[in-house]
Amino acid sequence: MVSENNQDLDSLAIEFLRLINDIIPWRDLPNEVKRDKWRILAKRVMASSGGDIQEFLHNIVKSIAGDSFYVTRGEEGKEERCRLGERLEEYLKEVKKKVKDIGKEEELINYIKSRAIPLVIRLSAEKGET
Amino acid sequence: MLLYGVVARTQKSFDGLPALAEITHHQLVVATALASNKVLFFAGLLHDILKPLLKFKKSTGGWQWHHLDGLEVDNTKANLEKIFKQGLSSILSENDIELLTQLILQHHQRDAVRYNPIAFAENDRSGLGIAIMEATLFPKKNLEHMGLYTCIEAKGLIHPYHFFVLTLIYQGIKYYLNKVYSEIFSSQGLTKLIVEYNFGSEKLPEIRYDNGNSVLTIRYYIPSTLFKDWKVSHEYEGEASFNIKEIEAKNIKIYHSWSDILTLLVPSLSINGLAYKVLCVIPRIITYGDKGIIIDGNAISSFVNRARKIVDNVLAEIQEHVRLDSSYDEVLLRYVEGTEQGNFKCIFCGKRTDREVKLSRGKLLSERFTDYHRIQAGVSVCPLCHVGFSYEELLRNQGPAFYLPLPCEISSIDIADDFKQKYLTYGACPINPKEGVVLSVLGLSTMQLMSNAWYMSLLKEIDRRSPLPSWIKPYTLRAQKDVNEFYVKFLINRKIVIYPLIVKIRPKALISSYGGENKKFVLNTEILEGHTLWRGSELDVTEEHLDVLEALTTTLKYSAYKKVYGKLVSLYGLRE
Repeated sequence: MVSENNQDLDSLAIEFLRLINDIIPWRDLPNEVKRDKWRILAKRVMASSGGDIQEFLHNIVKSIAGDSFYVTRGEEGKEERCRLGERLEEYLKEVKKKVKDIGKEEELINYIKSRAIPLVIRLSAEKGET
Repeated sequence: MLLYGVVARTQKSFDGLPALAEITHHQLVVATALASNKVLFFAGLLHDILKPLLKFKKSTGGWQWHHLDGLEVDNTKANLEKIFKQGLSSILSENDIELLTQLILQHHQRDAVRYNPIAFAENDRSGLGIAIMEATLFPKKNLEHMGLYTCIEAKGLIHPYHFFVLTLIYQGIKYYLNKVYSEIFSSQGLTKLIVEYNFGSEKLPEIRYDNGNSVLTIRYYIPSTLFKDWKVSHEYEGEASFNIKEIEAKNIKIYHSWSDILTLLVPSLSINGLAYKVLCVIPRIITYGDKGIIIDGNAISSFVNRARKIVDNVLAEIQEHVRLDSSYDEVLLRYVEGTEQGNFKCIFCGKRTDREVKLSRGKLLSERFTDYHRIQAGVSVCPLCHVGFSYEELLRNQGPAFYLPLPCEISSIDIADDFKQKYLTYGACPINPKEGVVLSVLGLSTMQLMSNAWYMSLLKEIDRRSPLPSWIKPYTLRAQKDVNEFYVKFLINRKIVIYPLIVKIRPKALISSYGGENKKFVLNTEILEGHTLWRGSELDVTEEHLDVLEALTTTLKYSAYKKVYGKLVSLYGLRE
């Protein structure tokens, strides 16, 4: 199990990948990319960087989907659409709030980059798309 | 999580420091020393059968682990003679059963070491003291006086090839000694031992002896609410090799050879620094009769002669399969034992050697070899590296992976909550892992089996494609269809229960080669240690990564585990 010190980092990291997965318009991407989406996502996360978490997210999305991304998305079991911008804003607030406890944003970025593959496997299992 | 068994002992130091010794292994070691006759042998195998009930009581002298007659189990007093009469009457006469019961009941009496062979086998001050191998890695006593024979003492190992060759030799010795143990145990009426651990309610153990097949079954009932309804069976026999199978949910079967417990590779201290010893338990060393307890010199010399022949055969067999100079049989042993001579220098390890081995194109290093930054200046190869290099080449050509498990490290150790709860009123627990765990000779063999168990969840044995020494087994990654919830969960969380200990392990292995490609670009042999658990072409699987995946083990449904495993293999590019 992830150590207690890393619990916050871990939950922020998996939420970060959920957000990216929702923002990227996978449906509009070529079939080759869609077929291998989890590998591509993991590799892009490992290869991307950013001065802060927002820039890191931007770079990952851009490296996969260019300039196209979703701003809203239907949510499972709900009629209304989820505003991804709002979710991102909430997420960034959460990161800022927890940054005090976990150190720098850089630590979160490093955590995500260094554990991209298991985090992506977890996300794919969560989505039932393994 | 893998439920493996039940602990055999604790140490008085540090408020009950646990030892990684399993109860069946402890009884088997004692029984082997006592295998000079049927009654002694079976007494050894059964002398602690009430221990898995884990009845501890605190007295002024500290914790007492009650495990003999009179013990109250499920509101009835235990009667060992009754248990033995019910289970052993088809192999032992009534008198023999009475003697066996008496030997077991006496083995903790004051001064029992003088008249009781079990106490003599266990007691390290006035007896043989073989049980001390569970309590320390470096016994004060001379190993041979404890009933352990040193087949080989390896010194000056400085390169992965050296350790690889030593481990190959160890595996060979283990394989052939298993046949010797099997023959001796069969002569005492035991071809197979089945031990069942049923977790849940508290009940007296049951014994059954199948006369037709010479199989002894011991059925333990371990009072545990945490692991209620779990069942683990161990099988020990002459033909088996270590393996684990899930029979159904919460029902695991673990296969062992006798040698998995009785032949050991352990580090030892020598004046030249760290050495390694291949040890084995000398069978039939204790005799007991009208003249009392005697250490049987004939049994020792007859076993030692057989063990020496086995070492010679193993060395010859190793050499034959890579077709090196036949004088290597002898030279190899000298190099393993730390002797080096000659004026040529080995390009791999730098040891001196007296023979020249051609390295240029078409010779040892073919034109396909590119790993020049990992070799030193030199004009030859020492016999150990030569054999190591040749086996690496041979095994890679067989493909797929060839690995040898090494004793794991312990990442963390805890006590099962239900066990702790029982002793809340005392304010302390009889087993206390606060200071870790005792590192011991038998503990290392348990740790080796733990490592092996973990790798079995990732790999499976494949049919050999061409002649290799009988003990060499190639493995490959499990296909998605070959895994199940049990394997994947254990692969991820790496926890093993030797009840009440819950141990999280860091598996270790020596990898000779990964298969799949019939070419040599690089030197493959390496020890996977530290955080790397298996190599991947994209990324190596590490402890931290598996820790991240652990969140899945509580949420996934049964069928999803296969898919998670498939993703793990494909995203990491795990090497076969």
